[in-house]
Amino acid sequence: MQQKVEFRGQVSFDKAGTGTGAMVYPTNGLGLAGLLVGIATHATISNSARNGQKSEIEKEADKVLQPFQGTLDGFQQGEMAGLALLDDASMPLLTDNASPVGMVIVSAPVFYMTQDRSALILDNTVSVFNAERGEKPVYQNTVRVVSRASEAADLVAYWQQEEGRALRSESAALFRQSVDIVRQQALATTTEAAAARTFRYQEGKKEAMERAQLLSEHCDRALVKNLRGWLMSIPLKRQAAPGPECEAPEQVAL
Amino acid sequence: MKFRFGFVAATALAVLTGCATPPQNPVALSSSVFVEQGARVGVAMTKLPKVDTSFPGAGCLLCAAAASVANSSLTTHTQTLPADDLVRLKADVAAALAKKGMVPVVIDGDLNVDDLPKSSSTVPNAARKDFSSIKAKYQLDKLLVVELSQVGIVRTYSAYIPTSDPKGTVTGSSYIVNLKDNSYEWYLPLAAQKSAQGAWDEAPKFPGLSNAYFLAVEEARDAILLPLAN
Repeated sequence: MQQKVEFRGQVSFDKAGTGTGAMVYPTNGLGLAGLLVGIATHATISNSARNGQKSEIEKEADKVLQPFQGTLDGFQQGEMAGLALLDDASMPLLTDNASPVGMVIVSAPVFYMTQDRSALILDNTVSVFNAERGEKPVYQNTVRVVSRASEAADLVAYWQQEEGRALRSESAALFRQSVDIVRQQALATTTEAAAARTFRYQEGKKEAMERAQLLSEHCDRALVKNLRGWLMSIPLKRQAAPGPECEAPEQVAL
Repeated sequence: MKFRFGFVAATALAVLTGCATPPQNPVALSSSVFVEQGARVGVAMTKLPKVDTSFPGAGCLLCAAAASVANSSLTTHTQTLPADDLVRLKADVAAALAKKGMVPVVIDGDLNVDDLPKSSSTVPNAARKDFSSIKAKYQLDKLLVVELSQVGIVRTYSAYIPTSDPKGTVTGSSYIVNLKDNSYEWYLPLAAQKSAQGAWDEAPKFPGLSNAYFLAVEEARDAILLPLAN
């Protein structure tokens, strides 16, 4: 619980790769053995170059978080989960040495900020255990929740104001949504899912896509199951102003 | 000897220049293309390639065999991926053209561009093939062609060694030929590539890469359809 909440910049590897190229393997007079050594050396160099390139892309993507480093350095998982579950007595936050009863959710959340800084994405990998029945989880999945893009003109100022209030409260709200989705889905009886299709949704101010099956749709958000079986709560493009039943804020109160 | 040398050199030059057809430069779609309301615009597609893997850079025979073996389960899975969203492109293009006030004429079956004679036109942006036979057959003013050359998963290699993770890909081109002078009024090279989010090596169903494939398909569809909708 005293671990920092993990935040990363949203990353794309669409342009990753070191391209094609001819290779002449020197055999150094060793025939087949020399050729095999040459190929092994080439593989090592190539893997190292690809891994280095991926690290560079990730490092570059993480730069989007630099203005918020102060807030993120002090943002602990315990605080985030506490904010998310504060008003729900049915879901007490467990300490490491607690002896729980009923169902226990173990969660590993990772947050991403879109490169335009307008939205947060949570990937929450969860396992649900029956506390009385041992160590095998009764449900496991990853839940992705994508926030709706903020319309603030100055997004750095928006997330940073009042010591990162918006950043902390929106993270908590996404976490809460992911836990609610897990509770619904872990207890849901299996129904026949719709056919998979390519969904379009808003990821920050850009359009994103995912091949998935629709589970439900409400208030311009869809809950879908992607090809990995992950559950995704995604904001759809708004066709009209949201109705009064959909005006609940996406942030929890601090 | 001098003459013989000259002949060999000339032959080699002819072969080399024959291989080096320069790629067609993109031609932006101007709004003037759709000014003539009621124009008959043919909509054709070349044969859709089989959804498959490809390993550019694995050039030598042994390299290609090694890449094929190393990615055999990926290839088996890729060949099961549907291309329905590309198959319905002709109908979607026709609907977009109708909204522009054109009269779309969907040409059934696959258009075999390679069978058409080479164009002798010298106008700017002349199409490389002569489409006059299509014009006469369907009484068309213009022809929109979707020509896809690769659909599936691509992974680049340098000889035996992969230099990228596999990615979903759709490559090819889409173009409009003005059949009055056989010139391109639009030429769009397509090269949609999408990587898997997170891990890609998830045999046997490769869900991350399958998703990347569907996103590449959608990106290619957007590249063709959005300019027609604007």
